[in-house]
Amino acid sequence: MDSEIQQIAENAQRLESLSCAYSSGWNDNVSEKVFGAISTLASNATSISSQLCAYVSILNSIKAELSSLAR
Amino acid sequence: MASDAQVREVESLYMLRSDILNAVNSLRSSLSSAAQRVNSESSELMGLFNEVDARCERCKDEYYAAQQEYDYYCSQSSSDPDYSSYTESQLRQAVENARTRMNQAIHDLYHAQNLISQAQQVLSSIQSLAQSGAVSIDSEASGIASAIERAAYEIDKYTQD
Repeated sequence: MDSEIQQIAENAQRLESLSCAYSSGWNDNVSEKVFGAISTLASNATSISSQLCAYVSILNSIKAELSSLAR
Repeated sequence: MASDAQVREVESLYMLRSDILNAVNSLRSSLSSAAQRVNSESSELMGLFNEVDARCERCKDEYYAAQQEYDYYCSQSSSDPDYSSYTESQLRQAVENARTRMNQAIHDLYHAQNLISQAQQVLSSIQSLAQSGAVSIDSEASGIASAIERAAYEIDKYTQD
């Protein structure tokens, strides 16, 4: 699960970088419609990645506790 | 006639669309993979729970065996005082120790059941988040692709006019 979360975070970062890389030099109309939406998408992906990360952290601690009970 | 700058603008927009769609596809793939991993995580957790359950069963067996040995000693030693190399107090202590281990194992099993219940809720939340995340990302990506198409069309149209 950790590698999937890492990939989600990396893709969110990639979207944000794309938005920054392309955003200069466009007229306001294009910027507002396109780059704002890309930034929102990247932000949502980051949020999903953070939430997943929190869930996996809980899951890992449950797993560690179960492992110690199983011994 | 389109200027070089306008042509580059349209090309850049289409390149952006392609890059965005690649990133979104990769994102979707990671989310889908995370949702699928829920099943294997669940199996792993159930495997650990079964080990706790098995340990509890072993402790119960050990307790019953110690109790039986003690009972048997009591029944035999009444007719043969030299029946066993163990003393009554040693066997009684062994029963008490086994009972303590069994009670701890039963307590651990209840705790493990509680942990499994929590883990199932977390796994369900992960699955739900991965699925709803994929739907919202699809929708947002589709909106972005359309916005890029429209922007490119407007530039094209402006160029032709």
